[in-house]
Amino acid sequence: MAQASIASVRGLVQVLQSIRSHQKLPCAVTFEPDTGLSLRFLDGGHAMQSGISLSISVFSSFQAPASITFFVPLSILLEAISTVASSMPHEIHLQYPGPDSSLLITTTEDASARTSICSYAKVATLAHHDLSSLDDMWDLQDACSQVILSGLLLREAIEDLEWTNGEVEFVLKRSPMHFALQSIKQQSLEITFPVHALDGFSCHAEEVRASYKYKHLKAAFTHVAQKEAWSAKIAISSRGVLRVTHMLTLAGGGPLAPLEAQPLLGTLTSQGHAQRTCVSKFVILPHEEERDGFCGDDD
Amino acid sequence: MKFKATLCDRGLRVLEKGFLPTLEKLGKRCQLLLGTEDVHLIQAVSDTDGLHVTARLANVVLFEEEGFKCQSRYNNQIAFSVDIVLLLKVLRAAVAHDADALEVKLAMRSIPCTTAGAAVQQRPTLAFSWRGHNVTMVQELPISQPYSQRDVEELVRQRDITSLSPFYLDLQDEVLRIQALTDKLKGMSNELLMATTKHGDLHLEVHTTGVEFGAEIRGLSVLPAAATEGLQLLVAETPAERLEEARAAGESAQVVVLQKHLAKALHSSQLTQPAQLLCGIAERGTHVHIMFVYRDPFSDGGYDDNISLSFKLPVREDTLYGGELDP
Repeated sequence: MAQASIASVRGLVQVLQSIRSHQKLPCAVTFEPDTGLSLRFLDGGHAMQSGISLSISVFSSFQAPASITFFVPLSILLEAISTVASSMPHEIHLQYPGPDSSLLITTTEDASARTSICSYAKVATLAHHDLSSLDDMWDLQDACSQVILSGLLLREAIEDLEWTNGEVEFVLKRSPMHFALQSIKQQSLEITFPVHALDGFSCHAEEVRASYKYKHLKAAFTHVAQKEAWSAKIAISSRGVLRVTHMLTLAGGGPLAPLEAQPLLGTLTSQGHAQRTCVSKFVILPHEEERDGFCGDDD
Repeated sequence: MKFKATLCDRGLRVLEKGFLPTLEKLGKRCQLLLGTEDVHLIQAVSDTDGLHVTARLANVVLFEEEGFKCQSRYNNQIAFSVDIVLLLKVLRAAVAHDADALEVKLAMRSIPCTTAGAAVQQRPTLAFSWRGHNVTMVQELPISQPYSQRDVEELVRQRDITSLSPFYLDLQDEVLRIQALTDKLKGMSNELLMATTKHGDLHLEVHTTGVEFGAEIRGLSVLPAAATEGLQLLVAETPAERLEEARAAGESAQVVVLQKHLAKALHSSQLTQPAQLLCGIAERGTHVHIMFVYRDPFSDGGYDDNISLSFKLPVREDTLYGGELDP
């Protein structure tokens, strides 16, 4: 049986917002010993995958005797957690398996107060799904271009492109260093990021171009609810698969457990002091004209 | 049938800032039952989406003693229905002009008919007159025909049908969190199971195919105090088990209500700021009774007998699967 307790209740709800979806499709939840908890979700059109990784450091307690994965409908999971969290408890506990193989979510409060609220949710789990397609998309080894910049800048840029109503092309050029987003329909609209804002830039060809459906970009960039600035890493593989990784901090909560686990992304976390870091990650397949018939209805 | 009175400052404030805006959120119209002791503002099931709402305001709160007249053949009671938005407009105009001596009276307005030979029509109105800065205003608010004796009796009967529950829980201490929870439950289901225990616990549960949710709000005050005598402490460790334990000992009551009714009743506390928000389940689970009790502004710590607001929530049969709505 795997269990985890987290005191940053508000922070957890906020971070889950970044992958929010109305889809009831299965989300894979994994308790990984020594690493933490992760959620992964493949959207209906099979062109986008989203996920969250919470390192052990964000939990006040975490027990997983072995790697355990189960499946729950994403929207129901997010709704259950945010409903249980609405009474602003001190801690939220996750336990699997709970009664009837459900995911059991419970809360604790200060027992000394005269009045208190104790809530629970039992989320029914779904049959096991094959994860291999998720893995294939998630961990690509081939050469890629990448850049790190402010998540806020990216969000604003993607929001600015909303009215163009079509695909957006990511353009990276090796020299001089250049990273821009261009609307496919409105060729005149191009948002170029200032060079001084770019970090860790590397480009595997003189010029790299790949375009993606707007709704996937909107889901990947604009749902992060964090108010403080955060870093986001963009990586585009030679096949044009886009990987977006947001480094988020969990707000609120009590004292942290000591940080012993490996940092999630070498250059972006500091080993020197404990941080409530959480990673929100998206993988988006490039939009190609030929794929339209194959993927079918994405809406 | 005669009604004539002068609204005092407190009455105007209580109506214009508190009770009428509260009732406006629940339905467009309300029924006024005027009497020699008090005024009832009533929204029946037909005025709302299922809630029965009664606000009682003693005449001593609303009107000046001098010049008050309420007379009719039916026990000196007068009832009619009125559009809340229009009534509020009239009162707000008076407030905006810093009105002096706001008089209200029942009047019949004669409307001459345009068709030749037809009799003059009589339309009942509530006539408001007041003096403000440089303004003397008379406004006539159209109202329904005053009720017949039978209809007045029926109105009174419906109002009184809300029997007192065996015991009540005071939700006021946790009203904000209970509101937040109830609001959140809207996305899960239209209905929820509500249970109260003599131990002072309120349970809200939702059961759907994908998720079972429960919240137990513990430590609420129980009224009357006698209801808690002789209770053994509950020993079970989870909310669901504690409810089962109370149920087995005959110390709880439960019903299924519509989420929107509970949410509306709870949110109604915002504008009138009650001191107590008493929630009880009627004998045999026929309805849920929610009463707002107000603090007496003229004494320390006492409760005001002159103002009250109560809701009757309809319930489904005590099962989450099927059952007809029992008004």
